[in-house]
Amino acid sequence: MAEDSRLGSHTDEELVQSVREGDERAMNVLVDRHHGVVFRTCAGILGDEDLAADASQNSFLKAFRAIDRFRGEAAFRTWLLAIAGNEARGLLRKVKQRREDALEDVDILQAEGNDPSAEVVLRSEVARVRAVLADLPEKQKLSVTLRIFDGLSFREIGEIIDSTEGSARVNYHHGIRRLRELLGP
Amino acid sequence: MTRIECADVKDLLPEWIRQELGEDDRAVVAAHVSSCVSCSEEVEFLERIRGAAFSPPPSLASEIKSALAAEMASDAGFKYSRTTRFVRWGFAVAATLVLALGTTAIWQRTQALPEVGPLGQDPFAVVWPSDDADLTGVPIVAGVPMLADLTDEELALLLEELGG
Ligand SMILES: [Zn+2]
Repeated sequence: MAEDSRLGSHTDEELVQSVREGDERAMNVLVDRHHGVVFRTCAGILGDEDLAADASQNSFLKAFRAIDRFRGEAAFRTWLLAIAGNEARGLLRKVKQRREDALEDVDILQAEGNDPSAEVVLRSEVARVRAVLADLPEKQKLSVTLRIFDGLSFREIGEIIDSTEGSARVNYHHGIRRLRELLGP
Repeated sequence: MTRIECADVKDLLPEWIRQELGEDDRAVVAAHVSSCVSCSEEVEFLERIRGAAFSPPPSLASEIKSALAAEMASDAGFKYSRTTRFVRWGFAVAATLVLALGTTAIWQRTQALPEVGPLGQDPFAVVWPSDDADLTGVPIVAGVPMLADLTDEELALLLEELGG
Protein backbone atom coordinates (compact mmCIF):
# COMPACT_ATOMS: atom_id res chain seq x y z
CA MET A 1 0.00 0.00 0.00
CA ALA A 2 3.01 2.27 0.31
CA GLU A 3 3.13 5.09 -2.17
CA ASP A 4 5.74 4.93 -4.90
CA SER A 5 8.73 6.27 -2.98
CA ARG A 6 9.85 8.68 -5.66
CA LEU A 7 6.39 10.00 -6.51
CA GLY A 8 5.18 9.90 -2.92
CA SER A 9 6.56 13.34 -2.17
CA HIS A 10 4.85 14.96 -5.15
CA THR A 11 1.79 17.13 -4.66
CA ASP A 12 -1.54 16.00 -6.03
CA GLU A 13 -1.37 18.67 -8.68
CA GLU A 14 2.04 17.44 -9.88
CA LEU A 15 0.74 13.89 -9.99
CA VAL A 16 -2.33 14.98 -11.95
CA GLN A 17 -0.03 16.52 -14.53
CA SER A 18 1.81 13.20 -14.81
CA VAL A 19 -1.49 11.36 -15.17
CA ARG A 20 -2.38 13.63 -18.06
CA GLU A 21 0.87 12.52 -19.68
CA GLY A 22 -0.20 8.91 -19.27
CA ASP A 23 1.85 8.02 -16.19
CA GLU A 24 0.13 5.04 -14.57
CA ARG A 25 2.34 5.15 -11.46
CA ALA A 26 1.11 8.66 -10.72
CA MET A 27 -2.46 7.33 -10.88
CA ASN A 28 -1.54 4.62 -8.41
CA VAL A 29 -0.06 7.10 -5.96
CA LEU A 30 -3.27 9.14 -6.11
CA VAL A 31 -5.23 5.95 -5.46
CA ASP A 32 -3.06 5.10 -2.43
CA ARG A 33 -3.43 8.61 -1.13
CA HIS A 34 -7.17 9.09 -1.53
CA HIS A 35 -8.97 5.74 -1.69
CA GLY A 36 -9.68 5.86 2.06
CA VAL A 37 -11.52 9.16 2.03
CA VAL A 38 -13.26 8.25 -1.23
CA PHE A 39 -14.44 5.00 0.36
CA ARG A 40 -15.65 6.74 3.53
CA THR A 41 -17.54 9.31 1.45
CA CYS A 42 -19.24 6.56 -0.58
CA ALA A 43 -19.92 4.46 2.53
CA GLY A 44 -21.46 7.48 4.25
CA ILE A 45 -23.93 7.83 1.42
CA LEU A 46 -24.56 4.15 0.63
CA GLY A 47 -24.38 2.59 4.09
CA ASP A 48 -22.94 -0.60 2.61
CA GLU A 49 -19.27 -1.59 2.33
CA ASP A 50 -19.51 -3.62 -0.87
CA LEU A 51 -21.46 -0.95 -2.68
CA ALA A 52 -19.06 1.69 -1.36
CA ALA A 53 -16.11 -0.28 -2.74
CA ASP A 54 -17.78 -0.48 -6.16
CA ALA A 55 -18.61 3.22 -6.11
CA SER A 56 -15.03 4.04 -5.07
CA GLN A 57 -13.58 2.14 -8.01
CA ASN A 58 -15.97 3.81 -10.45
CA SER A 59 -15.14 7.20 -8.98
CA PHE A 60 -11.44 6.80 -9.75
CA LEU A 61 -12.17 5.48 -13.25
CA LYS A 62 -14.46 8.41 -13.97
CA ALA A 63 -12.11 10.95 -12.46
CA PHE A 64 -9.17 9.79 -14.56
CA ARG A 65 -11.32 9.54 -17.69
CA ALA A 66 -12.35 13.15 -17.17
CA ILE A 67 -8.96 14.37 -15.97
CA ASP A 68 -8.79 16.85 -18.86
CA ARG A 69 -11.75 18.65 -17.28
CA PHE A 70 -9.94 19.13 -14.02
CA ARG A 71 -8.64 22.67 -14.29
CA GLY A 72 -7.22 23.05 -10.82
CA GLU A 73 -9.67 25.68 -9.51
CA ALA A 74 -10.39 23.29 -6.65
CA ALA A 75 -8.04 20.82 -5.03
CA PHE A 76 -7.86 17.45 -6.79
CA ARG A 77 -9.19 15.76 -3.64
CA THR A 78 -12.27 18.02 -3.57
CA TRP A 79 -12.93 17.35 -7.25
CA LEU A 80 -12.48 13.60 -6.78
CA LEU A 81 -14.80 13.55 -3.75
CA ALA A 82 -17.45 15.51 -5.64
CA ILE A 83 -17.34 12.81 -8.32
CA ALA A 84 -17.45 10.11 -5.61
CA GLY A 85 -20.48 11.75 -4.00
CA ASN A 86 -22.32 11.81 -7.31
CA GLU A 87 -21.34 8.24 -8.05
CA ALA A 88 -22.53 6.99 -4.66
CA ARG A 89 -25.83 8.88 -4.88
CA GLY A 90 -26.40 7.52 -8.38
CA LEU A 91 -25.73 3.98 -7.19
CA LEU A 92 -28.01 4.48 -4.18
CA ARG A 93 -30.85 5.53 -6.47
CA LYS A 94 -30.33 2.43 -8.62
CA VAL A 95 -30.15 0.06 -5.66
CA LYS A 96 -33.26 1.54 -4.07
CA GLN A 97 -35.10 1.30 -7.36
CA ARG A 98 -34.13 -2.34 -7.81
CA ARG A 99 -35.13 -3.19 -4.27
CA GLU A 100 -38.43 -1.39 -4.61
CA ASP A 101 -39.06 -3.28 -7.82
CA ALA A 102 -38.24 -6.57 -6.14
CA LEU A 103 -39.79 -6.11 -2.74
CA GLU A 104 -42.39 -3.40 -3.13
CA ASP A 105 -41.58 -0.62 -0.77
CA VAL A 106 -39.38 -2.48 1.70
CA ASP A 107 -36.40 -0.33 2.45
CA ILE A 108 -33.70 -2.87 3.20
CA LEU A 109 -31.02 -0.31 4.01
CA GLN A 110 -33.31 1.07 6.70
CA ALA A 111 -34.53 -2.31 7.87
CA GLU A 112 -31.03 -3.66 8.42
CA GLY A 113 -30.25 -0.80 10.79
CA ASN A 114 -33.26 -1.66 12.95
CA ASP A 115 -32.82 -5.42 12.98
CA PRO A 116 -33.08 -6.55 16.64
CA SER A 117 -30.67 -9.42 15.94
CA ALA A 118 -28.04 -6.77 15.18
CA GLU A 119 -28.10 -5.92 18.89
CA VAL A 120 -25.37 -8.49 19.48
CA VAL A 121 -23.05 -6.65 17.14
CA LEU A 122 -23.93 -3.33 18.72
CA ARG A 123 -22.53 -4.45 22.05
CA SER A 124 -19.07 -3.32 21.15
CA GLU A 125 -18.50 0.40 21.58
CA VAL A 126 -17.05 0.91 18.11
CA ALA A 127 -19.93 -0.89 16.44
CA ARG A 128 -22.38 1.13 18.50
CA VAL A 129 -20.81 4.45 17.46
CA ARG A 130 -20.79 3.34 13.82
CA ALA A 131 -24.43 2.29 13.94
CA VAL A 132 -25.54 5.60 15.44
CA LEU A 133 -23.38 7.49 12.96
CA ALA A 134 -24.92 5.53 10.10
CA ASP A 135 -28.38 6.68 11.12
CA LEU A 136 -27.57 10.41 10.94
CA PRO A 137 -28.97 12.38 8.00
CA GLU A 138 -26.53 12.22 5.08
CA LYS A 139 -25.17 15.77 5.32
CA GLN A 140 -24.59 15.53 9.06
CA LYS A 141 -22.97 12.12 8.68
CA LEU A 142 -20.60 13.25 5.92
CA SER A 143 -19.76 16.48 7.73
CA VAL A 144 -18.84 14.55 10.88
CA THR A 145 -16.93 11.69 9.24
CA LEU A 146 -15.03 13.83 6.72
CA ARG A 147 -14.16 16.34 9.45
CA ILE A 148 -13.12 13.89 12.17
CA PHE A 149 -11.89 10.86 10.25
CA ASP A 150 -10.28 12.70 7.34
CA GLY A 151 -9.61 16.21 8.63
CA LEU A 152 -11.34 18.03 5.76
CA SER A 153 -12.10 21.72 6.20
CA PHE A 154 -15.70 22.97 6.38
CA ARG A 155 -15.12 24.66 3.05
CA GLU A 156 -14.09 21.42 1.35
CA ILE A 157 -16.96 19.51 2.98
CA GLY A 158 -19.36 22.20 1.76
CA GLU A 159 -18.35 21.50 -1.82
CA ILE A 160 -18.84 17.78 -1.36
CA ILE A 161 -22.27 17.95 0.31
CA ASP A 162 -23.44 20.60 -2.14
CA SER A 163 -23.69 23.30 0.50
CA THR A 164 -21.85 26.33 1.74
CA GLU A 165 -19.00 26.33 4.21
CA GLY A 166 -21.39 27.68 6.83
CA SER A 167 -23.90 24.93 6.18
CA ALA A 168 -21.16 22.30 6.51
CA ARG A 169 -20.26 23.81 9.89
CA VAL A 170 -23.89 23.74 11.05
CA ASN A 171 -24.35 20.16 9.82
CA TYR A 172 -21.19 19.11 11.64
CA HIS A 173 -22.25 20.64 14.97
CA HIS A 174 -25.80 19.30 14.67
CA GLY A 175 -24.36 15.87 13.90
CA ILE A 176 -22.07 15.98 16.95
CA ARG A 177 -24.90 17.13 19.20
CA ARG A 178 -27.16 14.36 17.91
CA LEU A 179 -24.43 11.76 18.43
CA ARG A 180 -23.93 12.91 22.00
CA GLU A 181 -27.66 12.64 22.66
CA LEU A 182 -27.80 9.14 21.24
CA LEU A 183 -24.54 7.79 22.63
CA GLY A 184 -24.63 9.40 26.04
CA PRO A 185 -21.71 11.01 27.83
CA MET B 1 -3.38 35.43 25.63
CA THR B 2 -5.93 35.83 22.85
CA ARG B 3 -9.49 35.55 24.11
CA ILE B 4 -11.34 32.85 22.29
CA GLU B 5 -14.93 31.64 22.41
CA CYS B 6 -16.03 28.03 22.87
CA ALA B 7 -17.66 28.05 19.42
CA ASP B 8 -14.34 28.95 17.79
CA VAL B 9 -12.49 26.31 19.78
CA LYS B 10 -15.06 23.65 18.93
CA ASP B 11 -14.59 24.40 15.24
CA LEU B 12 -10.88 23.65 15.67
CA LEU B 13 -11.14 20.55 17.85
CA PRO B 14 -11.05 18.07 14.95
CA GLU B 15 -7.64 19.50 13.96
CA TRP B 16 -6.65 19.51 17.62
CA ILE B 17 -7.30 15.80 18.12
CA ARG B 18 -5.63 15.04 14.78
CA GLN B 19 -2.63 17.14 15.89
CA GLU B 20 -2.86 19.21 12.74
CA LEU B 21 -3.10 22.70 14.26
CA GLY B 22 -0.45 25.31 13.63
CA GLU B 23 1.67 26.41 16.57
CA ASP B 24 -0.32 29.55 17.43
CA ASP B 25 -3.75 27.90 17.31
CA ARG B 26 -2.38 24.93 19.24
CA ALA B 27 -1.30 27.13 22.15
CA VAL B 28 -4.61 28.99 22.23
CA VAL B 29 -6.72 25.82 22.06
CA ALA B 30 -4.57 24.04 24.66
CA ALA B 31 -5.00 26.93 27.11
CA HIS B 32 -8.76 27.07 26.52
CA VAL B 33 -9.39 23.32 26.70
CA SER B 34 -7.46 22.99 29.95
CA SER B 35 -9.80 25.47 31.65
CA CYS B 36 -13.15 24.77 29.91
CA VAL B 37 -15.22 21.76 30.95
CA SER B 38 -17.51 21.90 27.92
CA CYS B 39 -14.63 21.91 25.41
CA SER B 40 -12.59 19.26 27.23
CA GLU B 41 -15.67 17.01 27.30
CA GLU B 42 -16.09 17.59 23.58
CA VAL B 43 -12.46 16.57 23.01
CA GLU B 44 -13.13 13.28 24.81
CA PHE B 45 -16.27 12.71 22.78
CA LEU B 46 -14.55 13.44 19.46
CA GLU B 47 -11.77 10.99 20.38
CA ARG B 48 -14.47 8.42 21.00
CA ILE B 49 -16.02 9.06 17.57
CA ARG B 50 -12.61 9.00 15.95
CA GLY B 51 -11.98 5.60 17.52
CA ALA B 52 -14.82 4.26 15.39
CA ALA B 53 -13.25 5.39 12.11
CA PHE B 54 -13.59 2.71 9.49
CA SER B 55 -11.15 1.79 6.78
CA PRO B 56 -11.72 0.53 3.27
CA PRO B 57 -11.30 -3.21 2.66
CA PRO B 58 -7.53 -3.93 2.46
CA SER B 59 -7.86 -5.09 -1.15
CA LEU B 60 -9.61 -1.95 -2.38
CA ALA B 61 -6.55 0.04 -3.50
CA SER B 62 -5.14 -2.86 -5.52
CA GLU B 63 -8.55 -3.58 -7.05
CA ILE B 64 -8.85 0.03 -8.18
CA LYS B 65 -5.31 -0.05 -9.59
CA SER B 66 -6.09 -3.25 -11.51
CA ALA B 67 -9.21 -1.69 -12.98
CA LEU B 68 -7.21 1.39 -14.00
CA ALA B 69 -4.46 -0.76 -15.52
CA ALA B 70 -7.03 -2.78 -17.46
CA GLU B 71 -8.55 0.39 -18.83
CA MET B 72 -5.10 1.76 -19.72
CA ALA B 73 -4.29 -1.46 -21.57
CA SER B 74 -7.60 -1.75 -23.41
CA ASP B 75 -8.33 -0.12 -26.74
CA ALA B 76 -10.67 2.27 -25.02
CA GLY B 77 -7.96 2.99 -22.46
CA PHE B 78 -8.57 6.47 -21.17
CA LYS B 79 -9.20 7.75 -24.65
CA TYR B 80 -12.36 8.89 -22.93
CA SER B 81 -10.95 12.35 -22.50
CA ARG B 82 -10.04 12.28 -26.19
CA THR B 83 -13.50 11.09 -27.16
CA THR B 84 -15.09 13.69 -24.95
CA ARG B 85 -13.13 16.37 -26.70
CA PHE B 86 -14.25 15.04 -30.06
CA VAL B 87 -17.84 14.85 -28.97
CA ARG B 88 -17.68 18.42 -27.71
CA TRP B 89 -16.16 19.56 -30.99
CA GLY B 90 -18.64 17.37 -32.79
CA PHE B 91 -21.48 19.21 -31.19
CA ALA B 92 -20.02 22.55 -32.08
CA VAL B 93 -19.76 21.47 -35.69
CA ALA B 94 -23.12 19.72 -35.70
CA ALA B 95 -24.74 22.78 -34.18
CA THR B 96 -23.32 24.88 -36.98
CA LEU B 97 -24.47 22.36 -39.55
CA VAL B 98 -28.00 22.08 -38.26
CA LEU B 99 -28.53 25.67 -37.20
CA ALA B 100 -30.59 26.28 -40.30
CA LEU B 101 -32.66 23.16 -39.63
CA GLY B 102 -33.62 24.05 -36.08
CA THR B 103 -31.72 23.13 -32.96
CA THR B 104 -34.27 21.43 -30.73
CA ALA B 105 -32.96 17.96 -31.43
CA ILE B 106 -29.40 18.98 -30.66
CA TRP B 107 -30.39 20.59 -27.43
CA GLN B 108 -32.22 17.48 -26.29
CA ARG B 109 -29.31 15.24 -27.22
CA THR B 110 -26.80 17.33 -25.35
CA GLN B 111 -28.93 16.88 -22.24
CA ALA B 112 -27.83 13.25 -22.21
CA LEU B 113 -24.17 14.18 -22.19
CA PRO B 114 -22.24 14.43 -18.95
CA GLU B 115 -24.20 16.95 -17.03
CA VAL B 116 -23.66 19.12 -14.03
CA GLY B 117 -24.69 17.09 -11.03
CA PRO B 118 -26.34 17.98 -7.77
CA LEU B 119 -23.41 20.23 -7.06
CA GLY B 120 -25.15 22.84 -9.15
CA GLN B 121 -22.69 25.61 -9.65
CA ASP B 122 -19.61 23.41 -9.49
CA PRO B 123 -18.36 23.04 -13.04
CA PHE B 124 -16.30 20.02 -12.02
CA ALA B 125 -19.21 18.01 -10.79
CA VAL B 126 -19.41 15.76 -13.79
CA VAL B 127 -22.17 13.20 -13.79
CA TRP B 128 -21.81 10.71 -16.59
CA PRO B 129 -24.91 9.12 -17.95
CA SER B 130 -24.97 5.65 -16.41
CA ASP B 131 -24.37 2.63 -18.63
CA ASP B 132 -28.02 1.72 -18.49
CA ALA B 133 -29.33 5.28 -18.68
CA ASP B 134 -32.58 5.33 -20.55
CA LEU B 135 -31.87 7.25 -23.71
CA THR B 136 -34.95 6.07 -25.59
CA GLY B 137 -36.80 8.92 -27.10
CA VAL B 138 -33.69 11.08 -27.03
CA PRO B 139 -33.06 12.25 -30.55
CA ILE B 140 -29.56 11.53 -31.79
CA VAL B 141 -28.00 14.11 -34.04
CA ALA B 142 -26.86 12.52 -37.24
CA GLY B 143 -23.24 13.26 -37.90
CA VAL B 144 -21.92 13.34 -34.37
CA PRO B 145 -20.79 9.70 -34.22
CA MET B 146 -19.09 10.25 -37.56
CA LEU B 147 -17.40 13.39 -36.26
CA ALA B 148 -16.22 11.54 -33.19
CA ASP B 149 -14.32 9.16 -35.44
CA LEU B 150 -12.41 11.89 -37.25
CA THR B 151 -8.77 12.49 -36.49
CA ASP B 152 -7.66 15.82 -35.07
CA GLU B 153 -6.43 16.89 -38.49
CA GLU B 154 -9.61 15.88 -40.30
CA LEU B 155 -11.76 17.66 -37.77
CA ALA B 156 -9.61 20.79 -37.89
CA LEU B 157 -9.93 20.76 -41.68
CA LEU B 158 -13.70 20.39 -41.48
CA LEU B 159 -13.97 23.21 -38.94
CA GLU B 160 -11.82 25.36 -41.14
CA GLU B 161 -14.08 24.68 -44.12
CA LEU B 162 -17.17 25.43 -42.10
CA GLY B 163 -15.73 28.55 -40.56
CA GLY B 164 -14.70 29.81 -43.99
ZN1 LIG C 1 -14.89 26.05 25.74
